[in-house]
Amino acid sequence: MESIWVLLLAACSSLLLWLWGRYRLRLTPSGLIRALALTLESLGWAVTFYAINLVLGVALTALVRATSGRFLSLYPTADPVLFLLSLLQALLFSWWRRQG
Amino acid sequence: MTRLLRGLGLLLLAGFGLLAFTPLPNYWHARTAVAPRLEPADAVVVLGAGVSRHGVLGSHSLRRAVEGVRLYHLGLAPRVLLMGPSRRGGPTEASVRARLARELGVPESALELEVRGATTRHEARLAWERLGGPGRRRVLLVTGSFHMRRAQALFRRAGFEAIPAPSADLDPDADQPLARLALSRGLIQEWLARTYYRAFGHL
Repeated sequence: MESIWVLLLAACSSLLLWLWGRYRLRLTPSGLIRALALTLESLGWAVTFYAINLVLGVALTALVRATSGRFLSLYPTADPVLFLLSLLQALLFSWWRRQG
Repeated sequence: MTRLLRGLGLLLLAGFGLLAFTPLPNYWHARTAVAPRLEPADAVVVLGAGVSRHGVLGSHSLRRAVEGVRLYHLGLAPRVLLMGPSRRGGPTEASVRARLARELGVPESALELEVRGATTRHEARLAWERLGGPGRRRVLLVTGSFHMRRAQALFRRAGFEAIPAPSADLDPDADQPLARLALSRGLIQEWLARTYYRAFGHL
């Protein structure tokens, strides 16, 4: 039930946003499709950066273990905050690419 | 390149939708979880799950410790081995758990502490050093429901007859999006750990 409620809220606000953009700001439907494509592209970058961050985390952990003989857990690398940071990296990079 | 990125983005959205808004993680958990078998044993072994530098047990650690104490009070084993090292110079997880166990009525003589285990494989070896031997092989293994399959395999490999007594670290019937994502995270993390252990011949 909670899942449906959350989806319903997002659907309602999306509809309001669409109405506001379409009729108040006079934005075009084709522009919305391009925006969707750009959003997917940014999310693709987020996945890419997350993979890079994970590989880097595992490699650095292995390096510290091998060189210092000290045990370092891999669990901190799996912290979900790393995905949020990757998402920020992706947004920044996408906007940077658009600015040229 | 752009098409690949869009494909990845679509995959991410689809994965998010499936894991947060459908019962997929609940089914996945049901398929991988090991059912508890509460039988008499020579000892209860409670695996580590983390303690803060200031001696605060993580929620998983606390649940496992309480489950170990419960099994002791049910009369299923005469001893409890509490495991867990310290974090950055703080108190050891095992000692914090031991204090809790004493306060919950477990006598000092029934408690054993092991403060060195850094990985599940290491813990299995250390537990065998402390408890293993002829006629002392049967242990009730307490760890999270996600972790049980791997832990049980490692304890069997070390020489134990490991009877599963999983603690519910996360709600397997979670139906809220965030709780389902937490469940998914635990499942994915454990799947990766099992893959790693298999790749290096530990399982």
